[in-house]
Amino acid sequence: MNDRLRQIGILYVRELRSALRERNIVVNSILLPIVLYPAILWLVYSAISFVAGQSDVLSSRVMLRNLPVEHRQILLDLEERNSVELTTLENPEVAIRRGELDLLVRFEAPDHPDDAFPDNFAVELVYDGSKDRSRTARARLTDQLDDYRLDYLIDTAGAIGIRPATLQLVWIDMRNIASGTDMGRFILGLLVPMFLIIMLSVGCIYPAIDSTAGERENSTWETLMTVATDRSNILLAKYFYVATMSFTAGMLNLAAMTFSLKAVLRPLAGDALDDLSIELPLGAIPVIVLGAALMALFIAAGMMILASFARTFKEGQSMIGPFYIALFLPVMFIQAPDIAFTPVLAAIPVVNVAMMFREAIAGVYQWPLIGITVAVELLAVSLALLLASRILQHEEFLLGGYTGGLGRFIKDRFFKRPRSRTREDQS
Amino acid sequence: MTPVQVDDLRKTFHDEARGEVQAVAGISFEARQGEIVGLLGANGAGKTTTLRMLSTIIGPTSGRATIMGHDVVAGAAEVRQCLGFYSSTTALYPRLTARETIEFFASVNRYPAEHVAERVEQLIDRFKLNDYADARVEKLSSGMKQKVSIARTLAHDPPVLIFDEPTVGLDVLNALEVHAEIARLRDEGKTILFSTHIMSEAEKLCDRIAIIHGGRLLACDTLKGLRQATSAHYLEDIFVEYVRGAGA
Amino acid sequence: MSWSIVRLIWRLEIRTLLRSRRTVILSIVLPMLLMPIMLLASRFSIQLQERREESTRYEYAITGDWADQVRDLIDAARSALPGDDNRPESLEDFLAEEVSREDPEAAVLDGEIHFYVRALGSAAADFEWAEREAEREDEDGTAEPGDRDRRRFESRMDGVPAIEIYSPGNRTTATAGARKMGDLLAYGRSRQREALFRQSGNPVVFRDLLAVEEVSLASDEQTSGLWIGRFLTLVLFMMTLAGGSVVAMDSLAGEKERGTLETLLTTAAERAEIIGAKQLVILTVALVITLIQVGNLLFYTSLDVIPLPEDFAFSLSPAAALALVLLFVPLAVLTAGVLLLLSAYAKSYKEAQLYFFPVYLIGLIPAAAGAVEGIALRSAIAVIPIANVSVAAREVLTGRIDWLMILVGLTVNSLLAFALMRYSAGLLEDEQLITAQQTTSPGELTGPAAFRSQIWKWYVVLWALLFAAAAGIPQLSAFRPQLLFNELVLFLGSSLLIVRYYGLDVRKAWALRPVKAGLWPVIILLIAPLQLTALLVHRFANTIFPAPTGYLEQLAEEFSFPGPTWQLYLLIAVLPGVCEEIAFRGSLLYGLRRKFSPVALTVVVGIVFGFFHFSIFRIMTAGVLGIAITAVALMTGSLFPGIVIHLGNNALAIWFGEAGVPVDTLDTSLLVGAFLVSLALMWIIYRNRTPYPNE
Repeated sequence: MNDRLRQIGILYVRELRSALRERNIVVNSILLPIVLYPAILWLVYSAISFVAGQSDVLSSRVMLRNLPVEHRQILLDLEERNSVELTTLENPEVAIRRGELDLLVRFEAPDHPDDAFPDNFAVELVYDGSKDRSRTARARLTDQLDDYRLDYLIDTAGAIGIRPATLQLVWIDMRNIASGTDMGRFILGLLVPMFLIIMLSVGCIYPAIDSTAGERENSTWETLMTVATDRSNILLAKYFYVATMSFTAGMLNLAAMTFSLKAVLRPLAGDALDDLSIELPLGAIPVIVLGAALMALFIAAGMMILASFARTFKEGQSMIGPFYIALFLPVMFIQAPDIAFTPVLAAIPVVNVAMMFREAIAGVYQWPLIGITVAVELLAVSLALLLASRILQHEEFLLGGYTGGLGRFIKDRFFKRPRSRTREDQS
Repeated sequence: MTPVQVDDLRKTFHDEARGEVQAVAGISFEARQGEIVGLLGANGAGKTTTLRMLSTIIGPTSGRATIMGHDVVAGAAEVRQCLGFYSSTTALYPRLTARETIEFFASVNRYPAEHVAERVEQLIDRFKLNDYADARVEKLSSGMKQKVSIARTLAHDPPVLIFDEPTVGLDVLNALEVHAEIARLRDEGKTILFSTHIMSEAEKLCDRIAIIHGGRLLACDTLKGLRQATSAHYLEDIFVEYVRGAGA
Repeated sequence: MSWSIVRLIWRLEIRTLLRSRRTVILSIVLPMLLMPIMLLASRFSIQLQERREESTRYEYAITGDWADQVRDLIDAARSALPGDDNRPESLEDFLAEEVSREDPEAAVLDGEIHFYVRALGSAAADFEWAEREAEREDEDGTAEPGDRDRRRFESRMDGVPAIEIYSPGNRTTATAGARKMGDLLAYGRSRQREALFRQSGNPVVFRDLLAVEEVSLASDEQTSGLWIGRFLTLVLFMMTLAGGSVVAMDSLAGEKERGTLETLLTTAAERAEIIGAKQLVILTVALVITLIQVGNLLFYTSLDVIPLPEDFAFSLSPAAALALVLLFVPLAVLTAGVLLLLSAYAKSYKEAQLYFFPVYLIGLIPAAAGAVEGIALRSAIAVIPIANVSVAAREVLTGRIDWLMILVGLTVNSLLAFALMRYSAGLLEDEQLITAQQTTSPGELTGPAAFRSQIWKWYVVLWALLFAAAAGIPQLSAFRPQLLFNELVLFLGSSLLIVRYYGLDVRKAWALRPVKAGLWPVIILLIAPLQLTALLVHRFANTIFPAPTGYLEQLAEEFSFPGPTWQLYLLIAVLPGVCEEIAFRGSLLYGLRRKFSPVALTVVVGIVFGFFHFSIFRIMTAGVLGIAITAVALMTGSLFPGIVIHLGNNALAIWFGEAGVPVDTLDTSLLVGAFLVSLALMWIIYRNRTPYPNE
């Protein structure tokens, strides 16, 4: 046994070493996560500041019509603003449609004038909802008019003997008792499970194909099969290597993402994020590592089985494609924020790990469910390995003579045994 | 007009580690109609680079070469039109049939459109491909692929043919067939450049042999001429003598 | 270029593609199945959440001395709801039940109840508010002046009772319930306000006083057009890029791998014909797949799997259709060109695929420009490829066709597409690329050669680390630690690491060579004019990329820190002057010098230096300074002048700030003069140059 482990170890190190010398793998699994996130971040950040600069410079062209003398203050306030340019046009509605004017503020006496409020007018903001500049102008004026209206209401109420405080009546406010840490975990909990599963798969694709179909393509497969060790040792070493690459890519990507996430969110959400702390809780890390390792083992097994039927890299890729998609589709169905982790979900492979990740990030550990998840995943991995060992018993497959995918293989070998026997006998 | 005329052809590569590398350091020779000129040299001697320059895949750093009077730099398109290039690295499209392959290469080499069909049939007959003409190339045996490959080289009936190590990786029987085909093509009046590192092949096929080493042409003569110049009998010994002489 | 040859190669490619059954399935059938499933999944998630919020019977607690009044307010609001046509929509299905809890906050945090309401009467609220303010004063050292006196409703006025609804922001359903409770209370309050007005004998409804109403002149078609226009380019671009990649990766890269490219290159077809045909193949496949996908999308829209907004109306005038064609066809050609370039550059199918993903992600960003509010077509965006189409398409769909700008966009994208094709054709001349030969692998190189071949990796990672560290490490968010980390650890550290790792000679790698003594006065004289030139560039850049007002304040804030002036000079002038020069005019210049001609080298090093300043408002200025300093380094063969100029420039900038030099109002002609003086001084250096040794 010890000797066997040593053999696997030697083979494993060889796989890993040659992988680290392969440019594609290094770039894909290591360089890309380090560089891509900051690069995208930077682009987004630049785009946002570019837009902010553009819209800051763009002044809103506003026209006031029938402004009552009582409300002259509106005009005075507007004149002080740099971002607003006041004009008067013959036909403002047409000008708005043409894009020559952004906003028309129309004052009209109400349908039923009231002696008590002679200065009450209806105000209409006429704009073009399909033009950004017009919408910006509306937003700018809405804020200003709201402020003005408040002052007016308070004055008006005061005139009929209602004090401002009485008018305010009661102060209503919404407050969040979740801490910045909780909110950070909440955001991570929504993003990380799906992301991590995708990254574990992406990190797995290349090594999985390269170590199977790729070896066939380079004709090193046969060389390897002649090595003086048990074939299962070779395949186990390859399997551990693929799982290692998957796991490493997943972890690196996760680290890179959590690292840069706050910087992405900051320009989008502004000061609201000051208290937000985007950090994985330390307690969740063992659970995440465990889950990621199980997933890596499962994904590696699945992908290697599929890819080992291919003769070229490209073929391997198209064989793996559907499996890759099948991995993350179920996770998409549990993207709603408040889904509870139930024993039923814990029994569904992949989905259970995603749920386990999410709960762990939120700081919730339901040990029985984690237990079920681990058991189910281990079972899935064992089944995959069992299938692999069944496939490996066939010499024809090992030596690369088999043409066809996993589906045909299973059909041929496990369901149509008699017919495939005769074919073998003939050949 | 000499079909192939090469004057002081040079090619320098830029390599990160070694800096400037002269792969071809001034080679001159010519090939006449109906003649097989063999380029003999070890791996890395500059044979393939020379032939690639002649076939305009890569451009020369300096020097001049003409194929059927067309300059390989100024008249690259015309050169390729009157040239068939064959090497072990020029592969076939796996998902085309043999017939489609020949048809495609005839057309793309601007063989007169009205004669393409006729030419394709002619080549299929010549290489006895009739039974496999409509099977995809990827399904053919390596020997059959070999034939299709030569057929596509000849598709546009070029006057000059280049065979760059054509027998690499072939078994004896297939190699012999290739030899026979090359000899037959010479007899039909084609001008053939033929590179190899196998002495017996050169001895057997070539009218004249050019010995290339380290990017330089050490000698270019008939086997007889070479024997006289070196007083050695076997080509192997002649080759070694030249190479040693160049090294000293 | 002969079209018959192009057609011939095109036919060959399409034929071989169609014969690869797996490719067809993977690229057409799979996405067709995938899209509805993904749409269903996201709809499922959204609907699940909606249903949950509607069906949950919310449990909440009320605390505080004003609890009874709140209960009354809730009851009154609830009983008024059914008969009121103006009731808020969010209160349609709001099931809630009060429960009593000793410690409601703990109960909410434990998930026992959904939220709680804390109600304070006038006195209690006043007391609490005073306390909070004192706390704020302690924290910030400043009180918000006049906060309590402001006659606004934005803050609580003295003597007004307070209701606060506490909810866990990390639980979506509970927070939605709390929000509904807020709506309910606000509804109750507005009814009470109306009652107040009625009591004082006024028939006017409070709500109607100086009521502001918004009227949009945009037709339904235009509004829908805006909705579609925001995402049309992004979606189409994603589809063409993904669709084209099916064939592109296999096209040149795959042919190289299989050796058929060499065969093709020996035929009479010209490079341009081959590239043209391949480009057409990618274009064809991309368009076909895009059409299939669009059809697919429309199909699911008609099945209502994709919900459309209300009042959806869509129409396209012939002129608009023409404008869209003029926009999207060059975009598709450009997309195909990018893909072909990737394929031409890669040596194998695998490698081509490796490049695809980052290109895809980065390409999506300009394509999303139309989705961003506030970008006008008549701006710098018109010359940014892809982004210009995105914005123009949005404009066209909202009924505004700006032919001039469409023409500009069309020209920019077509020219770029053409340039890419030219470049791809050029790559077919590169013998190392066409024959898929393995060149010497970097592992076998040593010393300077190894550094040269890996230099970009170093600087790309350095750039990423610089950016990520500032953003991701909270300890580095303060100015001083961040600066020290960047300069000492990243810039100086990486340069030292490079020297050690490759065993380089420091004097050569960092260009530590003496400079002709006579040049020093010229170099020192250059500092001030260069600083003013940078100001000129900044002004120019600001007309193209105007910086938002907030940005400049933020920058000023970052540069101000409490501490003695000598520290300021040390940290902002001396440290960057030394460390950044070693990193850029030292290692980077040394590593790149053989890859470019001197002029190109100057520009490249300058631009890289610019990009390390991150903000788009500083890239251009820093880039120009970088170019100038690189030029000096190349002309003197030494790092030292760069250090002096860099240090001097930064010091001058600090001094301008300290001394209150009005940089913003300096006359432009003065700056232009300074620029000319810089040129003259550079010319003197050029005449007395000691070229950078090529050793």
